[in-house]
Amino acid sequence: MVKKIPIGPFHPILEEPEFFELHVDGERVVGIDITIGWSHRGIELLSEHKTWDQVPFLVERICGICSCSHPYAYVKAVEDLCGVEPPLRAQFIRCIAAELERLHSHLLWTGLAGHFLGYNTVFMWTWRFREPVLDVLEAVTGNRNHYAVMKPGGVRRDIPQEEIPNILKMLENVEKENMMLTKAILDDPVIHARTKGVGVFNKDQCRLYGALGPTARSAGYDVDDRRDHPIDAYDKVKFDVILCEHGDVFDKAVVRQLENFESIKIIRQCLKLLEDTKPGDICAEIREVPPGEGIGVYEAPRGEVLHYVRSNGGNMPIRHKVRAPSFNNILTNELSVLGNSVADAGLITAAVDPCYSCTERMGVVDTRDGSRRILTEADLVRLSHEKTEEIRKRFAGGRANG
Amino acid sequence: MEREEVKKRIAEKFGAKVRIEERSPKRVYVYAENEIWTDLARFLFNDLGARYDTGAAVDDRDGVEVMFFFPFDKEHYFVTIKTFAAKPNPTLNSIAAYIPGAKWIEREMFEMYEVNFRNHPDLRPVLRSDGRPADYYPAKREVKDSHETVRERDDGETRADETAGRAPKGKNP
Amino acid sequence: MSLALKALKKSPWVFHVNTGACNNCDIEILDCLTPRFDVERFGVLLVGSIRHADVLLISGPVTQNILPRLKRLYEAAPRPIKVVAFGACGCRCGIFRDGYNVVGPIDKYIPVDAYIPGCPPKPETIISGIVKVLNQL
Repeated sequence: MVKKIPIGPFHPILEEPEFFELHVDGERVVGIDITIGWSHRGIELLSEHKTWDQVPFLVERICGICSCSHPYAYVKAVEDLCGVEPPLRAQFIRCIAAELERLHSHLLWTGLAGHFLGYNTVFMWTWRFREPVLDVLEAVTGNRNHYAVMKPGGVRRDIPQEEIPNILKMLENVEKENMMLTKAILDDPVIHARTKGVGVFNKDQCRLYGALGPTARSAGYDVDDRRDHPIDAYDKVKFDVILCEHGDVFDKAVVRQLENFESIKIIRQCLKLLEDTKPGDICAEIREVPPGEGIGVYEAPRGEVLHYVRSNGGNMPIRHKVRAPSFNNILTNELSVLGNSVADAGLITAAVDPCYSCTERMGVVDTRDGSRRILTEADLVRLSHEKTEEIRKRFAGGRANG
Repeated sequence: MEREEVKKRIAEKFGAKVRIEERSPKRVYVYAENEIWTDLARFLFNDLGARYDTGAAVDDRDGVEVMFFFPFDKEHYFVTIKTFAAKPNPTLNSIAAYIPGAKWIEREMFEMYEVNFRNHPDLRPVLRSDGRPADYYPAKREVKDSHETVRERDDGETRADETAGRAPKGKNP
Repeated sequence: MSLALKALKKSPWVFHVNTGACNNCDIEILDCLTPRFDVERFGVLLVGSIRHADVLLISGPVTQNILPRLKRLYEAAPRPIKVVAFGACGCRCGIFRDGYNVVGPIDKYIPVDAYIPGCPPKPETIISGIVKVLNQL
């Protein structure tokens, strides 16, 4: 027997603080309040109870999508503290794993953005394109995500020579698919209309807010740690930094799509360099971590990840500071949503590619009469799809009329 | 701006109130006195062209050491400003009015270490929920030493890998 | 088996909740919808509202911030509902067990019908887990 639960005008579960509370005047957003901390697990405090070698397993699980970035920055911080350089082979393997992760992360974002805009085909196709990347990661590191490949001083596993032709074949396919995807996105007039001029965050604002990653590069703010603070193999390979100029959602998508090509370029060069290195040492064992402090930075798919460690000579860090790029980037929503419609607000907050599902729920306060309504994810997606449909009809009507 | 030039200009402007330490070609640490740290930060950000990155706090026994990272990207090195806020009631000037990107990190330092930032536009916890007591600062040495932060282990008799696939616990109507 | 339960077994609608997980489990769940694994051919659908759900899929070690929401969600769920704890964090809090802000695991607050372990569970494991839950009906 099914029991009916009465649900009033306001859904009972949606009364606690939201992630974003939009203040609107009619349909325009005039202000925003951001609440974070839903996934706060106290990782920095947990690190102090783990040995230096155990910490990468912990920090991997800060974020699942960029689970190579945090261990990478952490091991660089420890190596900065100890003054150790990993062997050449380890450097190439690290870069390969990191760039493969960037590939899958950018494709993932494109899929989610497509789904939000109403292009479910884009969602299905990009996620299908990303499966071979995850297969290669599984063959090379042992897991589709949470690779556990980083270790202070080097890497845990070598890439066997036999795997390299498979990786190259996969890269060839992904490159073709990415090309097709890029053309489809850049040429679609409806996507142009939906995303150009939406959620603009300009270069000066980027500087004041410390914006990072594609969020910053889309506005022309030239910051890319792979070039500026090169680690491991990044100073031994050639690649371009993609910069756009408007800082809107369209530019953010363009930067990510074009960065996929750069990642493929880097992986190919690293594989070539790896083949030319004779097999052997993949880790410079660190026996003892002296007292001191170290800073490690790495350019993750979302921006710069910074880890700071301090040691007093013991076998556990006494302080481990983690700063994910989304901490800087999410704050930029303060300015980039202003003046846009509610249907676009979900898209704008997703365009900085935050590390949590921020479009889960939004509260909307109408500043004219103080009334409040709650929009669930379903509502936000529906609003966005409606807007896309409207624009599509406008274009179709325009074409029909000649 | 090159490293040597930056070190020279900081020493010229702030004299005895700072102590500069270059630990490696990529890492420069500047220890600044409490009162002038925001001036130093603004000097680096506005005049010397550094990028604002983020900050961190460490609880030493008699105070909280607060540091902010300002990288010089073109020249490939980091300048870290360090300052010290003594206990009890560690207090510092806030930089959030000049660099809006610092708003959240200062709130986090307040929430975790009880560092009070003067003139911060909105100093309240950023990460923890409203359910926690207002004076619970999880990263403070005193709080950690009393083992409040590490929860009692609750292992129970069965583990997840033993229960998966077996009959469920509890009843759902 | 009643008609309602028969219909339920043919096409379970799943509502997913993240109680502070690292998002990897959530991505693997979404992966199940994509062409390679395609759970929609089994009738499994991810819904956007708890009111339409037959299966409540919960991932993450429960953080203090999320706990009230989780409890209210369970109370608002229509009956019958099957609860599945997902991932190492969902089962026993995983590596975050000692975190000061982590108050889980999930079965401390709501009765759980099935556990799908893994960090993250592979999509094949997820499909197998959902099928096992349905076979209990």
